[in-house]
Amino acid sequence: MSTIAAGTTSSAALVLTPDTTGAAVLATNGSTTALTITAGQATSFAKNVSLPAGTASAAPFTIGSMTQVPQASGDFGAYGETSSAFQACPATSFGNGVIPPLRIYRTTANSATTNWTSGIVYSIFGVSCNIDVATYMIELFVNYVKSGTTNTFSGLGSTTFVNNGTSVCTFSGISESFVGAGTSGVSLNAVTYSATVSGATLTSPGTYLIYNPTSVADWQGLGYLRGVITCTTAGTFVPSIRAGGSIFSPDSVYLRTGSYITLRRGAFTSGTWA
Amino acid sequence: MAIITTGSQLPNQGSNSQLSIQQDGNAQWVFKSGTGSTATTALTLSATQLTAAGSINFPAGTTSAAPLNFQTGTLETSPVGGEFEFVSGQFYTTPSATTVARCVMPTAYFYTGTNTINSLLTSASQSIFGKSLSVDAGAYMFECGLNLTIVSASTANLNFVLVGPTGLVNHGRIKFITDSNSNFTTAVAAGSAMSSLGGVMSASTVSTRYNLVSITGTFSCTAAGTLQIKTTALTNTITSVTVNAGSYFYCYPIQNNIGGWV
Repeated sequence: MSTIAAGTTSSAALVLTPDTTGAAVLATNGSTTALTITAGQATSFAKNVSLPAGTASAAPFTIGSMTQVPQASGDFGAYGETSSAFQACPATSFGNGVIPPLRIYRTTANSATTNWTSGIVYSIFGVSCNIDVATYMIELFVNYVKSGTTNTFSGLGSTTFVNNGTSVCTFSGISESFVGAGTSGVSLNAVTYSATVSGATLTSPGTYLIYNPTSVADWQGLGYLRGVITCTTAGTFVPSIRAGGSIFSPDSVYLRTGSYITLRRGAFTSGTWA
Repeated sequence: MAIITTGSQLPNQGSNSQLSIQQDGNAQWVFKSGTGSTATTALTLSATQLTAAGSINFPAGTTSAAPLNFQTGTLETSPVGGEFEFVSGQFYTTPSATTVARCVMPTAYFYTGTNTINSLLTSASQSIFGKSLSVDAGAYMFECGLNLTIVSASTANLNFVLVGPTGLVNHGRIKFITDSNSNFTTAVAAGSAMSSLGGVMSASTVSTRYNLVSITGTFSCTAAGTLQIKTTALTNTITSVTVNAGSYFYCYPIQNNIGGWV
């Protein structure tokens, strides 16, 4: 054992021990291994590691690339896969699984009232985000309320979900629409539309989200969409609807609080499928 | 305090002289493997960060310490790919260096189990799983899948309710399939205080009904407390509701807006 220098107290001593395997050992208290660096440059901590608080200029922890194999229980990391996803291996017999980075936007208040013109695209949340070429799991829940009894409303037809951004995406999954009379927002029991969509391009005509073929003065419409979005061209992603009918002033429509969208990136094939 | 000056070498490098410890011209501790001109940096320790050239192996967790602990901090202004961050209540990851912004890393609660509810009344709710979950104040995504066997001598309508901490509000949707109905029926609730998720299970004269129920959505509460998912009979007392194996409840905390929305 090679002692670099003694600390002022026994607990502050620092010892470096290159052993016969070529590993460097940092020890505390003179002999208790704290950190081992092998000749192959792998670093092992003997005890739990406490990372510093992150700051506005530095994250506490940055992880490097890892391939899917070899994979062993406790492995954690895997940034830098084809789809740049994080992975972890809970058991060697299970292999790697994706740690899905979750992006969410959720309304906490009703939106301002607006009008719709048939065929025009409107941003659902009024926001956009950038997405890159990857596969995303998507879940979208919207709750629209139409109010006003001037009967300018002649039926919504099919109001569809589209991406009004610059990215190019296709969607595969299910979409459901529930529209019922009234605007109380307590409960609905009307089934109006449910569909399975495969590979629809999210530009036009889009995917049914609110389906209301009849004229109802006041209604509440809930749209639910779940599946996979495949982005083939990076750009902005603007979750939007294309109105299937017109709602003119003084009638109006608004998005209720609690509507949300989630995107989980990295839903590429993971695991040992055979 | 031990001090090693620039260029210092170990006084004794043992029988396999492959390692040295140095402080370089940038005031960093540099741990190298190999010797002389062939030595390569294995570990660098500066005033601001530790960088390992090889893999890092964390120790086994114990009942008193996790292998890795993050201190709560401040989110970085300009996150880059590969980073993990933590601010009390939520872990964050940034999966890509370019167009993908910081995301939430979900940490989920999950429960699966069986239960039997007898004499389900219209006047009193009963816990689906017979369990309660402690949650903090905040917003959560949730998903519940139920495989139910319902025995009733008359109409069997059920109501599902989340009962929990102060200020609990739910937004979500229910779908169910029952063998004693036209094969697909839906009930949806939205936006109300969580007094009701809406009724499911339509009227039927069949005494035993088999139902698959899917509930997804979000809930939020303004105070910490315990959460339960409960059911109540809507029209008539139901003889029994058996929660079969495979039924589950799953939720994880979220931030309202995360992911570079502009």
